[in-house]
Amino acid sequence: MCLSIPMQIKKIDGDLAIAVSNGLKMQVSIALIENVTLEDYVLVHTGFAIEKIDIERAMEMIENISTADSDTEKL
Amino acid sequence: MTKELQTYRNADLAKSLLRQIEKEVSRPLRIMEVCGGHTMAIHKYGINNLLPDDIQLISGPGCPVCVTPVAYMDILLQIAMQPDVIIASYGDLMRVPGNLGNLEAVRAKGADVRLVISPLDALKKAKENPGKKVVFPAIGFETTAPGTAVALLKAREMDVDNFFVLASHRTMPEAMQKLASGKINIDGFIGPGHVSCITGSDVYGFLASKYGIPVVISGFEPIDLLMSLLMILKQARLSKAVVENQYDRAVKPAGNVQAQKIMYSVFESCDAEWRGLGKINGSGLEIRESFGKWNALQHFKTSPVASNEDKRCICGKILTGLKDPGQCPLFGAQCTPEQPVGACMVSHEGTCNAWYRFKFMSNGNNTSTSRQRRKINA
Amino acid sequence: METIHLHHGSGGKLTRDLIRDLFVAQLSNGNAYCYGDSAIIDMPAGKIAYTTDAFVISPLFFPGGSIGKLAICGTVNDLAVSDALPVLLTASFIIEEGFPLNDLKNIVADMAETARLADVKIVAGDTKVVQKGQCDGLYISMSGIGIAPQDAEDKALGLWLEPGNKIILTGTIGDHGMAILNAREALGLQSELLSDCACLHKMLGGLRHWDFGVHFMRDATRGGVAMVLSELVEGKPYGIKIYEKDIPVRAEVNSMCDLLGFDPLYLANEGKAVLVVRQESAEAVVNYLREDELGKNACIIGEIQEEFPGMVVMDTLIGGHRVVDMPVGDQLPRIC
Repeated sequence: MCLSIPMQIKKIDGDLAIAVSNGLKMQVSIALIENVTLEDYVLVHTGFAIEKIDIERAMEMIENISTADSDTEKL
Repeated sequence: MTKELQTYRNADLAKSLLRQIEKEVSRPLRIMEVCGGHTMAIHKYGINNLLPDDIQLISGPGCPVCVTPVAYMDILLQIAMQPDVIIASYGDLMRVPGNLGNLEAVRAKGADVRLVISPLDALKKAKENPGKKVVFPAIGFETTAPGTAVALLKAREMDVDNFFVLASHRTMPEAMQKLASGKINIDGFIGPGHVSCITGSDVYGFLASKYGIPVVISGFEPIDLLMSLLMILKQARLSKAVVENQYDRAVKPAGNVQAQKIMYSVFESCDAEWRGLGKINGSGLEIRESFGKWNALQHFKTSPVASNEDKRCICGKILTGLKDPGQCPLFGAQCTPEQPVGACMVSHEGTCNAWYRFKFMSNGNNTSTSRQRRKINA
Repeated sequence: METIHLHHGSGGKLTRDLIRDLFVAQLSNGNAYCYGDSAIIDMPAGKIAYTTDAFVISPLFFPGGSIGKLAICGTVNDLAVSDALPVLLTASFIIEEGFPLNDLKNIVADMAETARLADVKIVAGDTKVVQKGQCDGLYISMSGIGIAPQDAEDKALGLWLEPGNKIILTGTIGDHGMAILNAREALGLQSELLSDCACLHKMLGGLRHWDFGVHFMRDATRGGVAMVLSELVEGKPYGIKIYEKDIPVRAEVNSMCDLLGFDPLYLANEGKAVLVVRQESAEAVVNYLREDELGKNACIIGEIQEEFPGMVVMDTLIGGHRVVDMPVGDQLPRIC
């Protein structure tokens, strides 16, 4: 399994980037992902951004739960 | 945790999902989380004791530490004891036992063992220590292997000749195939979220179509896991078996194609041994011949060590959900978290390790798990 | 660069000069520092608390302090949580040949400053120099004496604990452990995080002047809050329940824990204490602690309960629970 945390890209320099999360800053390699831009959220694992995170999609998922639950409540 | 994702740890949402789960349970179900990270999150948030009694969670083989074979550790430990060698290792491997002890033990005997959190740190150590040979034990699944590949590509690019990789990467779909094709007692899989970032969700299709087992790729926050469980329960109630992707904020159907390309430019598939599961065809990644110069296996001479693996260990059956730790003759006697024999006792999240700690804390009876269960909306 | 060599510890003139010009000059704090074999001191009648502690840390200088500051704070805190008023300390230095003199000066200056602010006196010391490779730079061994109340022993043993008592934490956890780990292993994580290394005796000592019913105090050093709580209930007819949502953890410590697979409950602290107090006065104690800069994040994190005797159980963020057990060894940065 693989520990990975969401971080936000703040600076890009070649295939390296500075990513931040809650007052924590680290250099990460972006060699494994394409088309990364500033302010993108990425998943960081062993010093590598392994994939971008779609925050809007994450929020949509959450909204689906709330609706689903209120439906069941009504029944 | 970024602010936007904080909702994925929200207690009210969790309660709401648990209410839905209660309503959705139609029969006793055994659900396997194959990924050690999911096992960890389940314990960390206490999800296991919030679920209805009918749902049993089983931890699968998705912990790279647990499945690392003893023979690999013996090679690593022999290399560590050679002169002018620095082992730059992830902390995970430090206490994994081989026949020759573990990394902490050889460090106590004088080996130079240092911790890193990235293969690029290990490469950096090689550049900083030109008179030494820096060996990076590369464990982990598809999530981790592409990073190792980048380090090897950099080593070639910068012509670093004192950096070596001892590769023991494993690939997940092959292991799940082996689990599903054998004698197994599993009603649904929680799919590995971060592995799937690389592999994509499509690779698990066969589990649903061929073996009829529902799969839901899941994120690692408590809300992710509860949603995924609910999705599996819905499939079970409707007698469906498809691959669903709860973690689609990061996992695409085809995965991270760039990372796959980089990974396979350095590695090629091979058969590989899994502690507890035996040999699985095509489930390993070995360093391609063109990168042989950096392959620790080619550079260092080691010899096979007589195995003292205890044949009574039933880890394989525990990893496939066929047996409980309580049915193992070694459990709690010869095999404890301080002196682990089998894979499932090695990592803190291993099934046996978790069982042991519960038993220990409740003075020898194993009923605390059920005693601690509380129904949220009873 | 001037360095320490073996002659500095051989007992001759160089030793005398080092003691006089560095240790006495910095640490004696205007006292009649004793060049003899013992310090002669006046002791009040009654009980004393007497503690000893060795300090080995890598790196010797870290964000938020140094081994010098740590040595004073650690010893003072051991006395403070024993409900004693720290008064006297002694310090022994074991120094590796070749140690930079300037580093030693800075470390001793940190000790002097910390002791001065803490109003404790260093009354005796010793210096040994060992050959290169026989120690890792510098070790400091301390002892300390404090004046203790008559009932200090019962309190230290936790004899007054009973179900219903509240557990209070004096501030955020894991700051020291994470700051040190990041500095020691050169993990490349940047943050503003500092070790919480601080002397707690003034804040904790003040509790004595109120009828708060403080039943137990312990500083949550190695093994963290988890270790303190686990030891407290081991073999006892009661257990402890804590609430994850109430445990103060800095955002950056949380992020580092997520990244490295750590649990903040097991991280070391050097300026935080766990208190067990009477239920009725818990709020008052928290309010009192919060008036102090070192206690501004103090809060109630749980209580002693009859259920699950001998165990520490935590209510998680989502309302589940898990057992908080004793750590087997140090946590190591993980990828899985």
